[in-house]
Amino acid sequence: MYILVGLPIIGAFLSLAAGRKGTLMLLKAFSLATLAVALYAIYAANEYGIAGIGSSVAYILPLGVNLALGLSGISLILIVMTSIVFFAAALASGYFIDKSMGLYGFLFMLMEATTIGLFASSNLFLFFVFWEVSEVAMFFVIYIYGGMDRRRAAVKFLVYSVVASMLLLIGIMLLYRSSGSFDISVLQGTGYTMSHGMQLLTFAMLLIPFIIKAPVFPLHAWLPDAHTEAPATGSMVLAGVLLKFGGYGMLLLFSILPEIAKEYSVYLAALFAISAIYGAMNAIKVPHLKRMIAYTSIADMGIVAFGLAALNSYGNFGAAYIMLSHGLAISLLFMLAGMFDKEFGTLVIKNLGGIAEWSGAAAYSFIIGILATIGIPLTSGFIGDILLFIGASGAFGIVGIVPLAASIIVGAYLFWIVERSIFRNNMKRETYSEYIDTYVLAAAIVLIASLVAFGVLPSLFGL
Amino acid sequence: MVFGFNPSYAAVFPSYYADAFIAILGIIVFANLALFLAKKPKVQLAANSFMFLVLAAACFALSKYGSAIGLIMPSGGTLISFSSFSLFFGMLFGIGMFLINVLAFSKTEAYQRFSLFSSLVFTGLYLVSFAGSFISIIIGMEIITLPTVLILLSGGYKTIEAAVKLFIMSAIAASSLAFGIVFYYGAANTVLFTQASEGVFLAGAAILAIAALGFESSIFPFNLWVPDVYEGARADATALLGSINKKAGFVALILVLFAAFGAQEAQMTPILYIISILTMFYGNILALSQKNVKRMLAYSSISQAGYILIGIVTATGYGIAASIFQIAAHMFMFMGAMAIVYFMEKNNNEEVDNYVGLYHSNKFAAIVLTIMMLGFIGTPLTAGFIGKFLIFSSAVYNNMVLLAVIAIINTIISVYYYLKIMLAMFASKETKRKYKMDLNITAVAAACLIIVVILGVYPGPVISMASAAAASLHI
Repeated sequence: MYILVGLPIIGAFLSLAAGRKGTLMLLKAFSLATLAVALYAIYAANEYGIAGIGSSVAYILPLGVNLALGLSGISLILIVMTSIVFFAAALASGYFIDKSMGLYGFLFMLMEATTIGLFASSNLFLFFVFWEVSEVAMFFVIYIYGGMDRRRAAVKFLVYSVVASMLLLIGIMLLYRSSGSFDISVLQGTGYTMSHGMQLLTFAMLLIPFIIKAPVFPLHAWLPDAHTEAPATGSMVLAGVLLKFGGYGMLLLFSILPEIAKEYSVYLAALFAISAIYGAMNAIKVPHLKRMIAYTSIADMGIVAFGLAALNSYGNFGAAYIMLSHGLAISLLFMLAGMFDKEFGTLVIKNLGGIAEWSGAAAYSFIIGILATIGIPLTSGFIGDILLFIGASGAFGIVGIVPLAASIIVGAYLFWIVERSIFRNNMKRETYSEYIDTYVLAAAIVLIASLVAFGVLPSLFGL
Repeated sequence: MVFGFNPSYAAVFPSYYADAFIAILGIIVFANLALFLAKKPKVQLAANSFMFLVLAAACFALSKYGSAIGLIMPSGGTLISFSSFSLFFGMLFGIGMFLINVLAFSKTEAYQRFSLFSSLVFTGLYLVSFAGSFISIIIGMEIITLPTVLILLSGGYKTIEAAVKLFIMSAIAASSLAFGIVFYYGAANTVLFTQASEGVFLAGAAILAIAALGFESSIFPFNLWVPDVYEGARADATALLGSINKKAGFVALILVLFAAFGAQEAQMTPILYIISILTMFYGNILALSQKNVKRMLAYSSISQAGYILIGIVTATGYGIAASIFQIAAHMFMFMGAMAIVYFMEKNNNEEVDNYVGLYHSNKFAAIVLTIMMLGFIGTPLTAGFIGKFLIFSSAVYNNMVLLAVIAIINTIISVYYYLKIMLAMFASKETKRKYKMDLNITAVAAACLIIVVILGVYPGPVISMASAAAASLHI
C-alpha cells in the first residue's frame, strides 16, 4: 500500500529538480507506475481478498496515530479512478502548462499521493492530513497556473476549503474525545456511546465540510469559479478526484454515526436531490462551456450524495461507481473544453462551432464523455445509475428516482450543445494548431477506454 | 496553609550540581567577553555555537539518561532544579540561541556586541528554564531583558525608540514581579516553588506574576509594546525577541503557574481563559491591516501566544505538553520567517508591496517564507499543524469546545493576512531583480525549514519529550 502513496511522493521531489522536459517524463512515468500498482491491487483484491491489502506502522506514538493504509471495496474503486485520472492529466500536462514546470510537477504528484492516501487511510488523522495538503496544493495550482481571473477564484476556493477543513478538524477531535481513537474501524462501533446531542453536533461539524467539498447546494459557490479559472489539468483533478473527497467522507460519516444518519436521511436526501436538480438547471442557464460542465458535476455529485443517503449497500456501491464514472467522464470533458479554449480562444457556447471539422477525434471524444455522464449502457455511468437508483428506491420508494430527472435534463441539454457547437459550422475560424495534440488524444483514449472497460466489466470490483 | 514542598528534594540533590551549572554559565559569558576584547568575531561565533550546541546536547542526553544518576526530579524545592521540563527547554534554547548567533553574524564589531549580550541572554534563559524558585525567575528574566535592550540600543539611531520602550516596559514588569514575590513570600514563607495551594495573598501574587510575565510573553493586555518594538528593532534582534525572549516568558509563566502555585492555578483558569481569547483576537484582527511585514509578524506572534495559552488554560498534562510543543514549533517558524525578513531588510524591502514577485527574484526565500506562513496557519506536514492539533484537541478533550471553536475562527481570520504575503510573493513581477542571500541567513533559513518540516512529518519523539516535560511539573 505504501508504494501507491510513496511513488508519487518520490516523483514530486524528483520533478522539483528536473527541467521542463524531465518533469513531463517523470509525471508520465510515475503516474503510469502508480496506475499499474493500482490495477495490480484490483487483481490482488480479486485473487487474495481485499482485507489482506493493508499496512500499518506506528507513526506518532504519543497520539496513538498509526501510518495505517488499507482498502475497502469502495476505496479501491476510487483509488483506481484517481490513478487513471492522474495518468491522463499527466499525459495532457505538456499541452496545457507552459510555465514553472518543476513546481507544477511537484504540486501535481503531491496531489496524487495525497488523494490516494486519503482514500486509503484507515484513520481520520491521516485522512485530515491528506485532505488539507491536497487542498493547499490545489490552491497553488489554481493560483499560479490558472486563467485570467485566477486569483479571485483561488482565494474563493481557499476560503471555502479553510472553513471546511477547520470544521472537519473539530469534528474529528470530537470523535476522538468520545472514543479515544482515530481508527475508522474503531469509530464505526463507538457512535452509539455518545449522547444524542453530541452525536448531532459531531455529525453537523463533519457534514458541512463534506457538503462544501462535494459540493452540494447551498455551499457550492466556489466550484464554478474554481473550474473556470483552473488550468485544464487542474480542473480534471479537481472535478475528477477532489470532489470525491466529499462523497467518500459522507460515506464514512454515515457509517460512523448511523443513528443520526438514519434519523435525518430523508431530509438529507431531499437536500441532495434539490442540489442535483439545481445543478442541472444552472447548467442549462450558463453560457460558458466550462461553467456548464462544472454545474453538471454539481448535479452528478448531488445524485451521488443522494445514493449515499439511502444508507444501503446498493446506494453506497452505486454512488461509488457513479463517482468512478463521473471522475473519468468529467475529466475527459474538462480536458477537451480546455483544449477548445486554447484552440479557438473562446468557451462561450454560442461562439463555438465547427469542432467536428477541425478534429473528428476531439468531437467524438466529447460526445462519448457526454454519453458517459448521462449513463448510457456500456459506459460505467450506467452501472452506477442502476445500482444507485435500486438502492434509492429501496429506501425512499418511488420518489427515490426523482433525481434521475437531473441526469436527463443535463443529457438533453448537452446534446443540444453538441449539435450547436460541435457539428454546426457557423464561421471559418483560426485555430491555434492544425491537429489535435497527440498526448491529449492519448489521454482521451485512456479515459474513454476505462469508461467502457468499467462499464462492461463491473465484476472487476466484485459487483 | 498547605506546603507541597518536599524537603527530601534538597537532600538527594547535591548542591554542587547547581554550583557547576552556574559556573558553566559564567564560563560562557567570560569567554565571550575575552573574545570580544580580542576582536575575533569568527572565533566568537565558533565558540558560541560550540558551547550552545554542547549544552543543548548535554540537556538532551540528561533528559534521556539523567534519571539513572538521580539528576532529574520534579520542578521546585531548590534554587536550581533539573527536571525534564528544564532540560527540554535547555535543549531548545541551546539550539535557538545557536541559530540566532548564526543569523546575526557579520565580521564586524556590531556582531561581537550582539554575541556578547546574547551570551548574557543565554545565561538568563538557563536560569529561567532551570528555576526552582522565584529568585531564579526574576534574576533570569532581568538578565534576559536588559542585554536585549542593549542589543537594541547598539542597533543605531533607528532602534533607540524600541530599546527605550522595551526598557520601560520591562522595568514595570520586573517591579510587579518583585511585588508578586513579596505576596508569595508572605503566604508561603519561602521563595521556592512549593505548589502552594490557597489564600488571598497567593491569588494576588499569581495575578501580579501573570501580569509581569505577560509582558514578556506578549499576552493581552500587556502586549501593547510588542508591535512597536518588533518593528523598530533590526530583524535579527526581532528574531531574538520573538523566538527566544517571548518563549522564556512562557517558560517562566508555566513554571510559576504550575510549580509555584499548584492548586491556585484553578482559580486563575477563568482569567487565563478570557485572556487567551482576547490575545488571539487582538493579534489577528490588528494584523489584518498591517502593511509592514515585521509589524504583521509581530501581531501574528501575539495571536500565536493566544494559542499557546489555550494549552495552559486546560491545566492538564496533555494541554501543557501541547503548549510546550507549540512553543518549540513557533520558535523555529518565527525564526525562519525572520531570517527571510532580515534578508529582505538588508535589501531595503520592508513593506508587503516589496515582497511582490519575490519568487522570481529569489526562489529559496519565497519557498521558506511560504512554508513558515503555512506553518503559522497550521497546515499539515509543518510543525504548526501538530502544535495546533495538540492545542485545539486539548481544549476539545477538556470540555472547552467553545475555546477550540474560537481558536479556529481566529485561524480562519489569520489565513487572510498570511495569504496576503504568500500571494504577493508568487505574483508575477516585470522587473526581475535577483537578490543574493548571505550564507549565514541561508543556513538559518534552511535549518528552520528542515526542523519545521521534520517536526511536522515525524513529531512523535518531540511530543514524547514535551509530555515528559509537562509530567515533571506534577500538575
